[in-house]
Parts: sequence; structure tokens; C-alpha cells
Amino acid sequence: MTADSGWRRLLRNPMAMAGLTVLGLILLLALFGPFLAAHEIDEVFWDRIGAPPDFAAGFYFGTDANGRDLFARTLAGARVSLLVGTAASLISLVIGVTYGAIAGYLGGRIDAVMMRIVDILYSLPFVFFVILLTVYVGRSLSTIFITIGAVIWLDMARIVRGQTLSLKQREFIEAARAFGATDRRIILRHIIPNLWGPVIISMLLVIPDAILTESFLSFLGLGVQEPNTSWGVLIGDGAQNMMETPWMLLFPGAFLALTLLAFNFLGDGLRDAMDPKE
Amino acid sequence: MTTPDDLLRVEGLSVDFPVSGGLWGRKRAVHAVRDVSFTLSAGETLGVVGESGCGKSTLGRAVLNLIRPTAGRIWWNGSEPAAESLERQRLLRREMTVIFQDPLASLDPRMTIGAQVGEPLDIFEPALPEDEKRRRVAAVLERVGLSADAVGRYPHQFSGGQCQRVGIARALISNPRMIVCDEAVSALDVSIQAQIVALLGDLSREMGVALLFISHNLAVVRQISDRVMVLYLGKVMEIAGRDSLYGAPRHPYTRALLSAVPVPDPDVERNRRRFHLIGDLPSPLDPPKGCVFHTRCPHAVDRCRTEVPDLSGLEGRHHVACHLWRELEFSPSPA
Repeated sequence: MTADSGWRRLLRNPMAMAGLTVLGLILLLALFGPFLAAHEIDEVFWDRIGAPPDFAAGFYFGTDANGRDLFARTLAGARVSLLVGTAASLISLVIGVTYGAIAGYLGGRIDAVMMRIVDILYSLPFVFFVILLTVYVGRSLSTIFITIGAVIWLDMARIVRGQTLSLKQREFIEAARAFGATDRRIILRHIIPNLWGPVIISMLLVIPDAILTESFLSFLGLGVQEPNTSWGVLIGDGAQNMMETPWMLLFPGAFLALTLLAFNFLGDGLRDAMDPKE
Repeated sequence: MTTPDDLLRVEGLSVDFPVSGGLWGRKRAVHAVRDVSFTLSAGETLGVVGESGCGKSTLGRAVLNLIRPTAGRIWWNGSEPAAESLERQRLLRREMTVIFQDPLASLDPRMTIGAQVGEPLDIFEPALPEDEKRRRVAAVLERVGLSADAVGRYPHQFSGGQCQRVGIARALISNPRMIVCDEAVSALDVSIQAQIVALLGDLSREMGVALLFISHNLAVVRQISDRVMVLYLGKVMEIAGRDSLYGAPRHPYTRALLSAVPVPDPDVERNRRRFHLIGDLPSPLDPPKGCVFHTRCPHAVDRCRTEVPDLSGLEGRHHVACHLWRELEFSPSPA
């Protein structure tokens, strides 16, 4: 019944529903991109290098510096970027929250060891880490997930641990213990549900971070390989030519901004829906 | 030593909290509870009174096995929980439950009333069918005077008194044999206090639950207790049957406590004798030598400063820890 009223609150929140609708539309565009675009993502039009939008010819967003249809490429990029963003936030949700809550709740030596591991991972130079992984895992899209996944949950773990430390002092946690709840039950049923506010916020902050990290990795040649693309790659290319051909930055950038905005509205709605006091 | 009707037996219980003395300071300890012994029979209500900081709550938490005692032994139902496995100790939490001081803070703000009251059932009877569980939650909520539609609501939607009823329902649902009431009514309005105390008294009688009723409120303790234990700086000053303690207090500290309770009748209030305490409560970091009460006792003699008084038995089950109780003039409490 908790979940029911939570969902009802979410469904009644217009901003959250607008966010959800926009995300749904972007997802549909990403999935059905190949059918909507008039051109292939790797088809080069030698007569239209860096051309502005031309609706009649099917170049709705213009073309890139290599004469390829930007509309098709933006939709193709959406797949990779949405996948990376979602995967990153799920990883930080599952690993970061569990890890942080366990460290904070158990405390003492276990907490010290767990948080030093986080510190070590944090202090590893990212590029060095990427090179190491490339050597062992090889270059593929899964390298991106592993690389981003390995570092993205660290912030979440720290935030959750800090919140858990203060939550642990609250009387209702001691009450749960006094009524025979196991540590596992206290963490899952009492600590984590009381962490939703900060958790959802940091989950959302992770998404742009992951999308931009992916473009950096792709730039290093580790992630998405040409002719496939992602928003991060498109924005990177567009930014180099923004004075001459602004549409190359504008369209992928607008999609990224719209997605993040929609995620934020949805996240705010989720946070409110999870809080029974709202 | 243990008689069959002793549900709980505490012997020589001490709880110290280490305090760091800074970088170069020596390690010190707050002696919250010192050498406390008492018993609690099935269905009996033992009131525990004393000033703030006298170790009442620490005592309750140690009995509930929420903190580890520094010394002493606790028997529950003839066996020692401390000697058993952690899992067995956890299962004992079904038999001894607790009601906390702050009703709202002791409830999870994100969990419905039904889920919280039913949680002990989830923990101890996971095989219970869902509708049977719902039935028992509804029954216990009704017993504490809440309507069945409380089940789907959240703690912040209730008043303090109602939240405390939820806390009582949670403490009752596993059919415990003892409930530790840790200042269970102090956070409530006076009128609500009376209702909750009456409810606790009824429940204790009907269900045969023993209560360890911790409070600083002497009037409330008098109303509900069978026996009363007076603590000062973590030590037992006096322990006696309710009427014996309130009618004929022997320890100077008990007398001072009782005489501090205002009497509703203005004539009596104006003319009655008062026992005033001198000075402040000493620090539990560095409690006085000898009798802990000697720094504030109007009758203290040299012996009190050097020698710790034992709990000596008077007639009945009246025990007092004072060297001078025989010599001190006996005056029935004005209240």
C-alpha cells in the first residue's frame, strides 16, 4: 500500500509526468531512429559537407563535417548515450547505495577498510585506469560500461555512508534493533528507504557525468567506434566548429539538455513521491 | 538463587561508557550504572526512578541487551542470554520488548503504521499468512485504542499520544513477557499521560506482562508500579514495595525526591516539611567516594564519606543503602 500511494503521488505530479513523457519520446526516437531518418548514419554526401538543415532533402539537422546526416547520427547517438547514462545511474544506485549503507551502518573497522578502498579507487588516475582496463578487457562498448561503472559509484557510496551515519543515531533504528530486526533487515527496510532524497539527486547527477565521460573515452578511441556515435562524440565535434556550423553543436546539445532536464523533473517527482510527508 | 517466578534477575550490573580524555588525557569512563541488582517477577511492574543522568535508561538498555554491560550478570527466565549465541539473543527480543520516550522519533517516518506494528511478526513469524498477520495487527491496534484505518497511514499523521499507542501496539504484538517502558509517557501531555499509563496498567494486568517502568515522574510511577527502585548516580539507593516506599521512605534521597513532588492541596503544600538537597549532582565521571549521595545528604557523617553502604534489608522486601537509616527520624511522607 506504500508503493500504491507513492505511485499515485507520482502520477499526479505534472512535472514528473512531463519528464517521463519527454524521456519516453526520446527513447522511441532512439529505438526507431533508423526508420525515421531519411539517410544512413555512415552515408557520405560529398556535396553537403557541413551543410545547414534542409528539410526538402531529409537533412533535418543538417550534416556534419564529413557530409553525413546529423539527424540520423543524433538518433543513433541517443542509443549509446541513454544506455551509458542509465547503466551508470543503475550501477551507482545498486553498488553505491549498498556499499555506502553497509559501511555506514556497520561502522568501525569494516567501515574504515571499505572507505579506504573507495579512497584508493578515487585516487587512481582515471586515464591510467582506462589504459589498464583496455589492456585486459579490450576495446569495445562493454569497456565503457566497466570503466565508468568502476568509478561512478564512489560518490554515491560516500554520500550514502555519510547519511547512514547520521541515520544510524536515530531512535527508530535502535527501535528496530530492539524488536529483533537483523542488520540486513535494518539496512534494507529502514536505512535505504530513508535515503531516497539524496540518493535520487546523486543518481541524476551521475547521468551527465557518465555521458560526458563516455565521449572522452570515445575520443581516446576506447568507446564508440566510427561510424557509430554518441551524443558526447557529436557534441565534441560540434564544439570544434561552433562558429562556422552551429547546428552541429545545437541539435545534439539540445537533446542532451532536454534529456537531463526530463530526468531531473522525474527525479524530483520521484523524491517527493517517496516522501510520505509530501 | 533464582526462584522460579523470577522472570528477570539482575546481579551486580555495571555499565561504563569510555570517554576519551583528548590527545594526552588518560582514558576515563562514565559510570552510568554501578553494581545494580534486582529481580522482576512475571506480571510485576517495577518502577525505576531517579534524576536525569542517574542511569535509568542505560539500565533499561542493558537489560534489553542493546548495550553490553561492563560487569554483572542478567538472567532471563532462568538462563543467561549473554552466554547464548547472538541468534538466540536476537530471538529473545520477542519476549522482551520496549516502548521508547519519544513516540515519533522511535517510528520509521517512511513506513506505514501497519508495517511497523507488524514488523515483529515479519521477524519472528515469517511463515504467518498475510491475512492472519493483518488480523493480528488490526486486533492489537484496536486493543491500544486506535482505529483499523491507522494501518495505511504514516507516523507524522498522528499526534504524540497516538504515536505512543502505536509504539505500545508494536511492543505488544509478539506477546512479550516483559516490556521496558523507557520514559514512555514523559514526552506526552499530562492528560494523555494519564490515559497511556492507565492503558499500560490494564495491559499489564490482563496479559500478565511484566513492566520495567523507567520514569522521573514519581506520581506516574506510584500509579502503576508494584515495587519501586530509586537510583542515584547509577546506584540503587532504595528498593521497596510501592506503598512501603511512598508511605515510609527510608533513604534521605528518596525523602528528598518525594518531598519535591508538589501536593495539589495548598494548605498541605504550605505546611508540609521539605527535605532540601544541597549542591549539584556530582559528575558520573568522578563519583564521590563512600556513599555516592554523601555530598548532598543533610545527614552525612564521616563514615558516609569513606564506606560504601550495602543494600540492607528491612522488613518485607524493603531494602535501603544508607548507613544511618536506623538512626534517622522516621516520618511518613506528607504526600
